[in-house]
Amino acid sequence: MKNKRMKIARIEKDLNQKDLAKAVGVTRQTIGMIESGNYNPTLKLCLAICKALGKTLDELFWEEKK
Amino acid sequence: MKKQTVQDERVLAQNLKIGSDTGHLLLLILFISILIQKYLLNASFAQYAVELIAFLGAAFYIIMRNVTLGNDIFQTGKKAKNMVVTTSVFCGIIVTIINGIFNYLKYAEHYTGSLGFFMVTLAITFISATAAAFIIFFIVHLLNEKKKKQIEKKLNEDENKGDEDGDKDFADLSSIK
Repeated sequence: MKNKRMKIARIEKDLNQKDLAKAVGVTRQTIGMIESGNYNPTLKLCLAICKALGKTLDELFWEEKK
Repeated sequence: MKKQTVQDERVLAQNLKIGSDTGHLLLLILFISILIQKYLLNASFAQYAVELIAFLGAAFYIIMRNVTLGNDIFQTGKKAKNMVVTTSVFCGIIVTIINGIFNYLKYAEHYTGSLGFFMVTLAITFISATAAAFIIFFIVHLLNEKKKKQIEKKLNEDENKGDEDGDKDFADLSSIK
């Protein structure tokens, strides 16, 4: 499932995927795959992304209520 | 109602690691086996051909799989070119050392007096091994860069397509909250 919240948080911070990838320490491809829902990051990576975007785990990665 | 079982990811990760380590160990054993058969036991090519094909096949698979997935084999940019040269020289040195040792052990009696011919042999081995390694690594580097550019292009297309739907996403999220 696509992670729209992560993408919007990234855009709010005026970061492109490459910038976020560099900040977190992964490749741009990894960020792209997380946002498109094609890769499940580890908790460690989720926390690093939250730290880089200034958001909490709930705000970026908790399941959306249908 | 179907019961959903949760896979123990820690155990799964450990199993994958064990499989990976086994693969590396097997490759190392294959390489050592080829060296022993060729240089110590003086075996004919037919006797170690299967091991050689398995070793080269596995190495080729690892490289091509990483290339097709867009993983960095030689870092990026200028560092990549430096790494290609460095790795080629390193391979040349290793091949020269191995060949030199076994060559001297086999033909020591012919190198009486000066070691001129032996040094020339080493030099030719080093130059040709380094050149061959450079060509192979350079081709792999070019393929890697080409695949990475394709993936970057696809990511850019997806990102631009996403930007067009951006307003819709903001609207969707505000309705959820």
